[in-house]
Amino acid sequence: MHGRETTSQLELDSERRPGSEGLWTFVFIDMVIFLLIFVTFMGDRLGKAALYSASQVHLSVSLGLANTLILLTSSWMVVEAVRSARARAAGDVSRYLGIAVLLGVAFVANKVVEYTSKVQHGITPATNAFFSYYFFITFVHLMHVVAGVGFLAYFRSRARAQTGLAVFQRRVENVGLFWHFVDVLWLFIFALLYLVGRP
Amino acid sequence: MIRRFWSAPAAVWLILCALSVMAVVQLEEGSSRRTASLLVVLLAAIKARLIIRHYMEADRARPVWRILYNAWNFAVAATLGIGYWMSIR
Repeated sequence: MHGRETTSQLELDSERRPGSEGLWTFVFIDMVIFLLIFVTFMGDRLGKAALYSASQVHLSVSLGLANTLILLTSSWMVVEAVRSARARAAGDVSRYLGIAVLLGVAFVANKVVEYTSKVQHGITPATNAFFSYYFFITFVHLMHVVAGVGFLAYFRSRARAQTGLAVFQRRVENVGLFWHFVDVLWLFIFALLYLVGRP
Repeated sequence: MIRRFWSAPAAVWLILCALSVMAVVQLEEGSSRRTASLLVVLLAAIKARLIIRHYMEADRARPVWRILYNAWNFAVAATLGIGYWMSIR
């Protein structure tokens, strides 16, 4: 009887819509803000293509690609955490969120290395328009990563006690939605700053 | 069977990583910088679409979110692609 109820509950969970309406709205507003930043960047680039291309050479494609793979892997781990939360597997939720947190920290560490390298070579936001955008866009994105790592770590700490609760499942879906958004943003930031137009 | 594999999170992750590496390699090795840059934008849009559909599960959310998130993806890709094209003309 209990097993049948559990199965029905799982079927119900898999049929309902993922995440909260509020989170879908919040993420979309954030997406539009970044779209406007990208439009401004490309608009400014129109008159300074040579300067932008010459500046891009100073960015490390290897570090950018490493951060891309780190975020993609952490996104996958969060997907597995959401699936585990739906299956009421507390241990798996904790494990997958833990790996996602570590990968998020690795992204931050990688970014700190990159920023330090730039400053040591005399490159700052005041160097030129391209680097103003570079530091602004990547720093705002980095703050999203730091916030996401905080959310992931918080829900990991609650996983063992709350995984059976429907509200916890919804919250893990919400933090997953935010984390995937951070991932998608980075895919375009990597293309925008590091790759497109690189000589 | 193929559909299930395509939808599995691990398979999607593998495809996303492969497309990311491919974007960098074709930019480094490709003969035409213009084509390579536009291909980078196309690959980024494909990856974003995969994440929005399979990881965010936008197809299971209210239809308005699926439409808006996919429209955002298209708008960003168009901004990068058209912006770059105009800057090199």
